[in-house]
Amino acid sequence: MKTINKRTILIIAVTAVFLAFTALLMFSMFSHAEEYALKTINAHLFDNGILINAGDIVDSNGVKLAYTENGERKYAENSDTRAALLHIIGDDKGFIDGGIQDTFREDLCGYNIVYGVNKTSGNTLKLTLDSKLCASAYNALYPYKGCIAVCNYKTGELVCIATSPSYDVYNKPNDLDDEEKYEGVYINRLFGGLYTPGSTFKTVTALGAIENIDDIFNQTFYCSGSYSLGGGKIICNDVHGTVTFKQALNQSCNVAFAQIAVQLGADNLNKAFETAGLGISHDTIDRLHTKSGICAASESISENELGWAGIGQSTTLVNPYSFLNFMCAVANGGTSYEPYFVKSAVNGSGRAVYEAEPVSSGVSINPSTASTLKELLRSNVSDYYGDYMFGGLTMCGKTGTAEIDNKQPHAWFVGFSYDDSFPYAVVAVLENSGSGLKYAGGAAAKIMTELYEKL
Amino acid sequence: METTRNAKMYFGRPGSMYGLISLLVMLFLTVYQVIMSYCVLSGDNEHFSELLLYFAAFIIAEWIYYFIFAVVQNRHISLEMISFALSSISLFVTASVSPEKTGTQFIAIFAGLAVYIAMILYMTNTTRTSALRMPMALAAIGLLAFTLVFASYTHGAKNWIYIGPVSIQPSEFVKLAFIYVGAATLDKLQSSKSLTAYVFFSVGCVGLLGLMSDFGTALIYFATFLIIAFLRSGDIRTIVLVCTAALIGAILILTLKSYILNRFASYRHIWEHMYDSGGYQQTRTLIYAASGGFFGVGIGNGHLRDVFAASEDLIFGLISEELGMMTAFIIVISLALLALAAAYNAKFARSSFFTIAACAAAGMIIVQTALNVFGVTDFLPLTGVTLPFVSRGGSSMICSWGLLAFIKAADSRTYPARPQTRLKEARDR
Repeated sequence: MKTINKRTILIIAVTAVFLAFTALLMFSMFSHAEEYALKTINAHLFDNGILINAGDIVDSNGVKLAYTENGERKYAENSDTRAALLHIIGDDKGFIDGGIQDTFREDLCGYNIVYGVNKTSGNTLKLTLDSKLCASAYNALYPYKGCIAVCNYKTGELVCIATSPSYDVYNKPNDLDDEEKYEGVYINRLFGGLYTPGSTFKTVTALGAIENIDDIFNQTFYCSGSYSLGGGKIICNDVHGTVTFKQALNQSCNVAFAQIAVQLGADNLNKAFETAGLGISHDTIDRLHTKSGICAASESISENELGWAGIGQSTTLVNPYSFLNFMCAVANGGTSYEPYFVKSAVNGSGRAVYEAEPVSSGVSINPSTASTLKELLRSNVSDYYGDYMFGGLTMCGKTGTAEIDNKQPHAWFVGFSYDDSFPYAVVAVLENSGSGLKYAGGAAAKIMTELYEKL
Repeated sequence: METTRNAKMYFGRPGSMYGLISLLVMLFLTVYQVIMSYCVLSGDNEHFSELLLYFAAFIIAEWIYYFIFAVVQNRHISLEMISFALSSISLFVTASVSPEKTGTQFIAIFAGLAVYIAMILYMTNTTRTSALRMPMALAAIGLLAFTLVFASYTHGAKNWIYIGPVSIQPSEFVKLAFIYVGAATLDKLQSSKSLTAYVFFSVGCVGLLGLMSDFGTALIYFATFLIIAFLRSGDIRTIVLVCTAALIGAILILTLKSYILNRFASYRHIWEHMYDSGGYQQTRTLIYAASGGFFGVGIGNGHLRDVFAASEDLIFGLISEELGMMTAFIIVISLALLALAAAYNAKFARSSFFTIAACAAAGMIIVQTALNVFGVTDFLPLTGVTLPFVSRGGSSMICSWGLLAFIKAADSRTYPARPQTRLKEARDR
């Protein structure tokens, strides 16, 4: 009898093990609760995978870009705004890759282990974007595919993003997958696009030249409209005659820049590309990942190809977001903050549950190089394109007309305001439109002046 | 006259707050149940009057039990209070999820209570306890064999018998016999013959359950067998030997019939099986349990209830979602408390029969709770067993009360009629 009573310790041991596992289960539930609750099959928050229960998304002026009403997800009132920001906000059906309704789902739904899904109002996401400006940019892109983005180069805050092609979430076209005009409609081109940069790439070649070629400002180049290089020919857009480095950049002389690229060598051109932050995939604060660019300059490249690479042709590809970031760094004395557009998530009682923390974009250009390049880009506008183009703004910039096989060229404009009381940088790409100055320059000018008038 | 004295003793026992505390607990429990009744009945409830009747009858019955056993008979009824609380949750969940089955669940709870009282009365006489050993063993094997032959496959296991409108799960009732037989042989403690007989009996039960494909229940029986075998022999080596033999047996069976393993293939991979039967129930359980937060979305507002077996196998998730994780974990801890009470009672039990029976019952409750709760949360493979007292289902409810009877019978205070004997026994120890 006595011995058997001692053996009852077994039950205590079994129960203790059971309770230990219960504690482990509690811990596991508490640490994974948010992840579980936010699965798209949770009928409290989703209806057939469609987000139905989440907070508002508002722009920098408090304009509602997305909200839930009677268990239904609603979007901005203005149809152009809806289309312009489709890729930023995302749809509720999961077609769009990288929309913040997906990437910021947790912050938006405001799941909280204590209240579960009871706090149905969710959190409010505040963006740095101005939705009116975005809609204007979207219209400025029409009818071309492409993207426009404007960023505060002192803070990294994006104030304008528009991508095309796009569609209105309220009227999703049926022919999205078949029509040529909707090609790549699900992709956010600012982050996921890769384009031949054309002459905008001369900013990179110039960066390399300033750093590596001591007498670059004393050199002159002769342009007769074309130039024989390594058994091939570099064709120029004009007959420029004798030009200096600065004039060559102003007039975007291919002959001069092909020679500069050869002087630099593939290695230095590649280094300049990396210094500009064009070769990496940026992991943005907004939880997006950009496409990393490709530089044609490699060890085995022929002299002729190197010449083409120096003027942004050949196999070189760049991502618009990365290029915008490069411009921010040039404008900002050599370094920049990673551009972002989600400022904060605020809960019902006004407390911020998420706040964007600006981080360095990793681009680090020698300050004196940045300043030299800045002056050169200023001269492009003041001495060549004409300041009248940008209304009252003192802009710096570079256009690009990237030649594409058998199609109209891509029009590019990259630039920024010289005046740092209006610290904004801009990138505009209009696919298969035509001249960089006319199409992209025009669109960028329209948005920059509109922004200037607002402030 | 005696009643008044007992009542005075109960509430006014010098140095003891037990009477007062138990009254407060009863009041608290009643308030909780009234609120729950209100929550279930609120809104447009077409079964309003019927359900109200069941809820009121339950609360009244609870107070009658309290009055008779606590106040009049001056007994401790803590274990019953826990069981009443858990049973009432099963009643509320049933009323909310499948109101048409509330009557059945109500009857099951009180049938369970009747079985409980009957078993306690039967076990008053310690010499009577081993009398029915042989008939019980035969009945147990017979019932399982009958089930194997006559039951039809229901959701992968062959363990339900349908008699007209009534469906029963014989393996639940056999659990009680299994413990009874295991504990009753005990008085011939060191006899290897009786142990061998019990081993054969156990192999028979577990084997029959295995043939029914009811692996969860088979595992519960096996664990209970180990507990009984340990208490009887105290020999770790024997236990290790038995476990090894069982493991080899299991591996052999799984090698021969590898399709059985497929049923558990999604274990620890449930998110890859979100849309097939391998992980459907577990993923929904986790998602909705998390959705409830600490306090739940409120009874009736959940989504897990739409998933198959929500108020039976997935009850832990359903309660987490609608009543909150706090309630769900309090239920699990309450069941562990029953087991700890058993371990405490067993130490001071009147005879080895009660010690073994209480420990076996406690072990059964713990193992079953573990298989249920950890199964639906993917800590263990999902075997589809019920949560004692809480899952909807008559057989399971009656069995739970029967297990409680074994635990309660081990409490020396349960049979206060023989205080002298008790003191003597205590001294003998």
